[in-house]
Amino acid sequence: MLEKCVASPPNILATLQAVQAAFGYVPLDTVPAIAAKLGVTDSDVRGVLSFYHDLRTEKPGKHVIRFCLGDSCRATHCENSLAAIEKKLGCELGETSPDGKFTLEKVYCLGNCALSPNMMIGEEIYPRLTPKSATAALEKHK
Amino acid sequence: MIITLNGRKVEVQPGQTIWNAARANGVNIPSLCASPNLKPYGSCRLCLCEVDGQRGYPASCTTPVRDGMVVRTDSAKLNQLRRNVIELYLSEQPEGSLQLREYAAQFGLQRVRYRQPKKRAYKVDASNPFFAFDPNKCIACARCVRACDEVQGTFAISMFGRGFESSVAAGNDVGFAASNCVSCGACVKECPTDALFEKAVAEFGKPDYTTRTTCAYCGVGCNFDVGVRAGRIVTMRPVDASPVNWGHACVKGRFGWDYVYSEERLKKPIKRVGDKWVEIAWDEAFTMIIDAFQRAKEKHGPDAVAAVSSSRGTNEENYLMQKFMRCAVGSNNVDNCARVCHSATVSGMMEVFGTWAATNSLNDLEQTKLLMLIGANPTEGHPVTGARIKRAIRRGAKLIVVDPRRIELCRYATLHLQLKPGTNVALFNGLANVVVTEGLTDKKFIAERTENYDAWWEVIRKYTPEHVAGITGVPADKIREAARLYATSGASMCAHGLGMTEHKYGSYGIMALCNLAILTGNVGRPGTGINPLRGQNNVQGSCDVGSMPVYFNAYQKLDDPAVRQKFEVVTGKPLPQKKGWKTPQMWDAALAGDLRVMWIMGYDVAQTDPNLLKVRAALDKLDFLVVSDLFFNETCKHADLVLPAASFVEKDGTFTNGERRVQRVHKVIEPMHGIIPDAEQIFRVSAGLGYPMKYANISEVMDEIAKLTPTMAGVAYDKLDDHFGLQWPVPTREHQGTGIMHTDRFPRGKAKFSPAEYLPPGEVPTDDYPFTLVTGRVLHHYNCGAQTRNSKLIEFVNRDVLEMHAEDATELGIADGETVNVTSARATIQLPCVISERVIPGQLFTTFHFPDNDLNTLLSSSADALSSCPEYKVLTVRVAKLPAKKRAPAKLRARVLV
Repeated sequence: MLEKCVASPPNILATLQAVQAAFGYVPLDTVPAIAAKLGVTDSDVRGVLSFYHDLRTEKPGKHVIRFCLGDSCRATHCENSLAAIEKKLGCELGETSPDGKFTLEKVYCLGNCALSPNMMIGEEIYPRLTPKSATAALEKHK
Repeated sequence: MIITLNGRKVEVQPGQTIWNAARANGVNIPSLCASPNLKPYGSCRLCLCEVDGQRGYPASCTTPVRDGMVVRTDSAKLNQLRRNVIELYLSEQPEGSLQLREYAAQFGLQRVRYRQPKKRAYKVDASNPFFAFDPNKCIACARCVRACDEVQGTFAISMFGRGFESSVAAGNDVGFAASNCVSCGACVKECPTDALFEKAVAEFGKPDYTTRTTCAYCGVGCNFDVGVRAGRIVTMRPVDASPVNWGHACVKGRFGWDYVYSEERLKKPIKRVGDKWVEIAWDEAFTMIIDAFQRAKEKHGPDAVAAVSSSRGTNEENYLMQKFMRCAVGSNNVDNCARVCHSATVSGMMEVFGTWAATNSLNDLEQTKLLMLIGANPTEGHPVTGARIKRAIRRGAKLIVVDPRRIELCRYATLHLQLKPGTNVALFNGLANVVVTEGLTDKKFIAERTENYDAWWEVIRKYTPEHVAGITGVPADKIREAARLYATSGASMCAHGLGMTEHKYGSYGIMALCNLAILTGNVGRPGTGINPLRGQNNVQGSCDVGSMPVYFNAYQKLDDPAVRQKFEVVTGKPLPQKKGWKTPQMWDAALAGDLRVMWIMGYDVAQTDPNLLKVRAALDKLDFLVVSDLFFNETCKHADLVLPAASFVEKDGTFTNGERRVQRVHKVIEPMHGIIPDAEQIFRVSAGLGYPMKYANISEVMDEIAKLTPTMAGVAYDKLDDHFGLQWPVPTREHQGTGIMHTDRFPRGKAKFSPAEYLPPGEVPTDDYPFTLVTGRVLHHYNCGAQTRNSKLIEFVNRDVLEMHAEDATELGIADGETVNVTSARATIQLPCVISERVIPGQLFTTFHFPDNDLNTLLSSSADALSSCPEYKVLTVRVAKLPAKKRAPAKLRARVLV
């Protein structure tokens, strides 16, 4: 699997993205193997891995929610929708729901401010969130 | 180029940053992240300045100077900006480090206006024995990370996380000790806030003053400022301006000096009484030596006495020991431990060039276009040079590694010629063959500066790449490629270690290498030459000053009447003419009953010489053996009398490093435990034998050496202190030393092509002994280990291990870490076996730092025909499993650098 993920020419970030695409996250104990394959040191890889929030080091739920806390979404009271989601999932931002279905992550702008507040589930964007539409969106992902 | 700096016109260099230019002109612009040793970075925002015609406040550490630039580094506005920056730093760490508090006071910061969102409570990483990291004091300037990358080239640490969370971490966030960190201390030296700090400084306090001296570990000869607090050494910091190490160091030199304070050190002379050791007074000890020497001389003649001095000792001590032997005893039986390392380099280079030392300087690594590294592992044996080689490669130089093992530098090599141990001669003949047949020779150089080409070619013509591939195991196309690279780079440099010399035909390997250099004109120019990496700190010097049985100083002949006369004027005594015994011959002589009495100084022959069972039998046969050493070593076990010795920080003198640089060793502290230093020991015994040596101080010994040694004629202590030493030849008092030798002519006139035929090593693998074992060193230990085993370095590596390829281990059913039997034709020893990628199947590697293994009992007495340099590098053995309960070694700590 690692063989397939190593970017050519060797590139730490692209490789970590490929590992995450394959496994859903980058397990910390794979760092030495990735470093050895790329011909760099463990700390080089771990440094990049720790820098990008999008790179996860823990196994996520089945679906990843990226909930926007950017200025525009704040101004349109995204916190109401967030509270509804947290209640429904039984977990807070940065956590995974007890049933393992959803990981709730924060982001600071999804680039869709005209239709704030926003969130993404997987690759799908949900604009103009209300508490109702937000919880309804969860229903679509089982 | 001229700029106006704070209203003053100053001269600056194009390409300099404002910060560096100001520094060079005595203006220190406040800064935390900038360092003269590192590339511009610009993170701390303290060094802001004002430049006429430029908007805003550029960072002086990243802004290059322009001609006519008008710069102000001090103004009310700048002071306010700096105050704000320091305020931000302190908002994260209210206590702040000393440096932050000093800046706060300097900029008039009264209080921090920001409330703290959360308190830092990071764990201190104290895993490294010598230094610790306190993330709570870190300002994330990345100076440590940049030092690790740019200076040391190990890339062991990185900035982790981002924003408030950013900090430094090692490896896969495993702590410094468990990461690939090599503890060179570059990060600690760069840290501006004491987030990285030396444990000894934390324990004993910052130094009151420093004394400059030269490191006593390997032959690189790094310069250090030794920091002393209340009479105790607390730190050794590498010197930025040193032309040898340029502010860099390795773990041994930087931190491994703590053996000076080891409780294990010998404190008083001890004599053997039955099977016990009894402390005696110094006077009694000297009387014992004088009596024993006198008796042997009278009864058996002066040649029944021999002495071995140390390449770890100073030039002065080595000189005095040979003078003592020649004048007080009347015998040439004096040798030093260079015999077992680079003696073959000397005999090989003598033949081709007529000289016995590195042709170029370490600084030539900055200019070389291609480095061919042979039988050396500098990132462990000569780590500061190793780091420098990595820098040269990043600059664009090419690297060819010639080594049976896949050493760390192979990662950066253009080519790795993984030859079978003991086939050097064939390989270099093969390279020369390609150079000639492909028309890549330097015809002008050959015509003008060499001789004996035709006779040489008659021998070399049959060493075609295909023929050589059969001998060496290196594919013919790689031989061709290496030859082309070496011949055509424009400036090719060779550096070699003991993988070249410690062979049955070591001298011939050196000749073959030198032939290749003169064939392609790669001598006498910057970035070229033949450069032995000397193993011990004073291998070069101990031979230069004549501690050898068959030569006087600077390899002057014993039987040359003019030389003898010159010496006798100084010594006031006729000198013995009969050649003395080389160290291995001393063992034969002792066993034969011809050698009766010995003095061995700073050299653990009973651990490091080959064929140990024989050496030990020889030592036991002596009537009287006196050993001077820092620690009770293996040789002491065979002695009648043991004298404590002074370490390098407890005496004055000089060491000569591998690039012929004679450098001062300054006394930093008084000898511990009232120890009488080695030179004084020699004086006392010599006087007792009726030959008092009169010197007002140790510098007069060097004056005498200068008088008798043509290559060092202009060397004197005052000159050494002015410079960072002097590289010989220094023919006159006015001479500034010689960086590159043989620019116009060779000492022997023309260089002589010296044909050398390949002959197989002393032992080749058989069914009984199928493995070839190579021995060498690791980063954290130094030769016999007397110093490093008595240092906290032992926390990194506490055992010698046998490195074996996974295929062989699988075949023999040996698990990683399992203790095995290793058997040669002489003996059987036990070693823990470690699976290693560095060796190929059929080959093994181990080190010789720990005496309990008795490694060298495995070796034969086989040695280089010309120089008697032992064949350490080729030994055939078999490996066998042990009964189950003996397989697990006790607390194994080892590391394999790849």
